[in-house]
Amino acid sequence: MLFENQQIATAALPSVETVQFQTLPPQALKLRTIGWCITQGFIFLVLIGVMLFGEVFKQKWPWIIVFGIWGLQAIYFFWMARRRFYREGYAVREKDIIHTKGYWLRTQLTVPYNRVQHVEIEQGPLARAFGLGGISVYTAGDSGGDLSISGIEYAEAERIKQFIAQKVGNDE
Amino acid sequence: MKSARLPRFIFSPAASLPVAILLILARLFRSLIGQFWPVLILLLLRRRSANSSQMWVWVGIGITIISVVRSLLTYFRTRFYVQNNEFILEKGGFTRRRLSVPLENIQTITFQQTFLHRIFNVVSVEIDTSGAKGSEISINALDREKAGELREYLLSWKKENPSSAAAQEKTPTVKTPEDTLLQLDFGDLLRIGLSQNHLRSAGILFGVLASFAREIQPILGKSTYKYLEEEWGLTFNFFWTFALWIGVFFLAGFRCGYHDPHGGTLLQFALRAHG
Repeated sequence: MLFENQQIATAALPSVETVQFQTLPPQALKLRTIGWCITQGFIFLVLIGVMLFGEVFKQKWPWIIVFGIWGLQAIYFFWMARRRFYREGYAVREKDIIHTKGYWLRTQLTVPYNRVQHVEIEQGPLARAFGLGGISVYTAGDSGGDLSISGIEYAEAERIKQFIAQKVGNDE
Repeated sequence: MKSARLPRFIFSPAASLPVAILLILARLFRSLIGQFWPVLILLLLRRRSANSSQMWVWVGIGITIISVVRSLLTYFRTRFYVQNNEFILEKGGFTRRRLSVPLENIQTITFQQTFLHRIFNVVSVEIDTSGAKGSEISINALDREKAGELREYLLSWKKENPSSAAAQEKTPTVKTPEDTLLQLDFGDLLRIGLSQNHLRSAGILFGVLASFAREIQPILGKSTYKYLEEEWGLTFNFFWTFALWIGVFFLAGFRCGYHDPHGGTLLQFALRAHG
């Protein structure tokens, strides 16, 4: 048999059917806001501690700049959390699962089920209070490129896991 | 489903092995030290004032309490079982995780024992799939017999379910305990060391350590060295540093070659699981 390897005109490929992404539940935004509060509060406390006991600057005015920078980044991340939240979504399809996220840099990660090695469900202490959880799907590649959705309903994560497990079991 | 459903198979370390708490704690501290050793060195080396050293004591106590709480949580929450042809591991300190690996994806089962593990006659089990670089499943402390039971179970599952061609290829053959696959004597180890560049790494380490010893001499002060010399007969010179490292390497060598009632070394386990 002759070896053939013809080039595909990518522009001529039929366009993909539009995927309807599911958004995250609104509690997830609350959860992220709480997370933001904790992180920023921690940074604030450390800064206060350094200011009171650290003896870094002789004068008072450099601290105004330091706290100004702190305030700016806090506002920026607060705003970003919202933008990111509204851009995030996922879609569970027959043969793969897609996760899209990011505001400045938008990524869309697709994992076909027949490449799945194992699935992990996680739930932090705060997320438990909201009934939220996360799901991570690990593939046979590098550990970096794995799909991980956090901030979906725990029951939903459970359902997706169940579905993927059944798919992995069947399509051998 | 392509295979008969096997009975639910449950191990709950929490019910049987309190020693695990200690080992989890030890691992936690090791990883903490592994991450924060530069900070620790800085703290040890800097000139201390009474005020700040007291603060660091409190920080230390806080970290210890959190570590202990986390270890306890990890200990009581770890359980694993096989269900619907999936190996499921529940773990996590503050964040709960539930990992599920299809049994057919399991590639290797490794037992490891550190010095602490050997004292309590437990093993840490690592189960690998062909996925990420590290081990997906690692169970910190498991009774030797239970670990063996688990391994036999997983291996026998693989034998009974040669579902796909790939799985069949990987199906391990369980050897009888007397059957030694490979034995290495000291000369072999030395040759492996040479060929694997371990000796070169050792040389580099030794160089680093020797220069470090010279660097910290002015900081520790002459008196420390004098004390060591007079009380213990130690002179911190080239020779002793070298001897220390030789000792470390001997210990490491012994660790590789420990013996198991099932017969075999760490290397053999790996080989056996690979088939």
